[in-house]
Amino acid sequence: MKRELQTPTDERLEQALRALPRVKPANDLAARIIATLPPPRAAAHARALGALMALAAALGIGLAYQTAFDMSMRGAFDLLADYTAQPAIVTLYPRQAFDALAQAIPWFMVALSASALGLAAFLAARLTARTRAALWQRV
Amino acid sequence: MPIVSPLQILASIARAHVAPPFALSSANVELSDAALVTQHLAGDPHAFAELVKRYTGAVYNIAFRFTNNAADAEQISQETFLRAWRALPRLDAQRPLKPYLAKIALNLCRDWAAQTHAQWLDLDEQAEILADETGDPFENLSDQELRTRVRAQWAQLPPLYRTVLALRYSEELSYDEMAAALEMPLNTVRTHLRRAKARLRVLLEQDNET
Repeated sequence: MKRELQTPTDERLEQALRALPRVKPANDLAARIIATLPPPRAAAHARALGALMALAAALGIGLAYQTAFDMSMRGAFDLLADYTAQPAIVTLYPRQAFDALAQAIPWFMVALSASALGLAAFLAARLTARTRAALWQRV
Repeated sequence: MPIVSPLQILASIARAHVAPPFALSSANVELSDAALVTQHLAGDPHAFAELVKRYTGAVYNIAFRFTNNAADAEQISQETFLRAWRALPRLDAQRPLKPYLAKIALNLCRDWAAQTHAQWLDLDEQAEILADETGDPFENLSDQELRTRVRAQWAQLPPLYRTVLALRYSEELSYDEMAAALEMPLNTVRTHLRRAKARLRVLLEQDNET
């Protein structure tokens, strides 16, 4: 095995090497490097997220409107109005009352619109999470 | 008793309840490289800028020690960070960043050497250099004088030796990190470092004699 540098001279040489400062770059080099960097990819990601959120929200609102329209056509709102006006129907015949209401509700459309609105809410939360965190950090 | 407006009451409540987390988050705590990389990947535009500020000196130093040219070192530094920026999504954030940046910079230095036909290492440097190890040839020099001479003679070394010394002594990389950055086996790195010091010693001795 080859001998490592151990003599006093070599130790002084090591000390001299350790004491030597770095070659310093121009003061503005870091700023120039930062200026040449492309914008963060997250910006494009956020744009896509925003577009998807808007699409999901529009779809959700449209489906919710269609659901309300279907419920109106199937008489769900009339049933609710009757139950409110005559609560005895619900108390005397609860099973029949709820069955009638359940049949008047378009469950598939309700699920569809709820999913779309839920997705829009989730995407909105994702989109604004960074801003909310940044606000907390900045204040 | 002083009259306090409702707004002042609200402000004092807000200060009392909201100040602690704000104070914690605004504290000037230096984030780790891993935290900055994670923030960058999450889309924080300031995180990578912080890393650039943190490592521009080191990257430039390595590039300059290799090229011995300020303009080329600046260009290599710029390209190093651009490549790191592109590669960060694939990088393990927990790994130390400095050796990784050194590796990119040294790859660019190799490209630079190929383009400019610069020799990494003179052929006659491949042989073992035997410095005169009897006595202390620098005993008449003060530490300050020795440092000045080392600084002057450093430029006379081949690019690889200059770089190896810079990685070890200026950037304080471990042997493992140096081996990873130079893409060389550990023993080769140790050999280059030993030869670089021996070569520097010979240059200093020659300078001392004249």
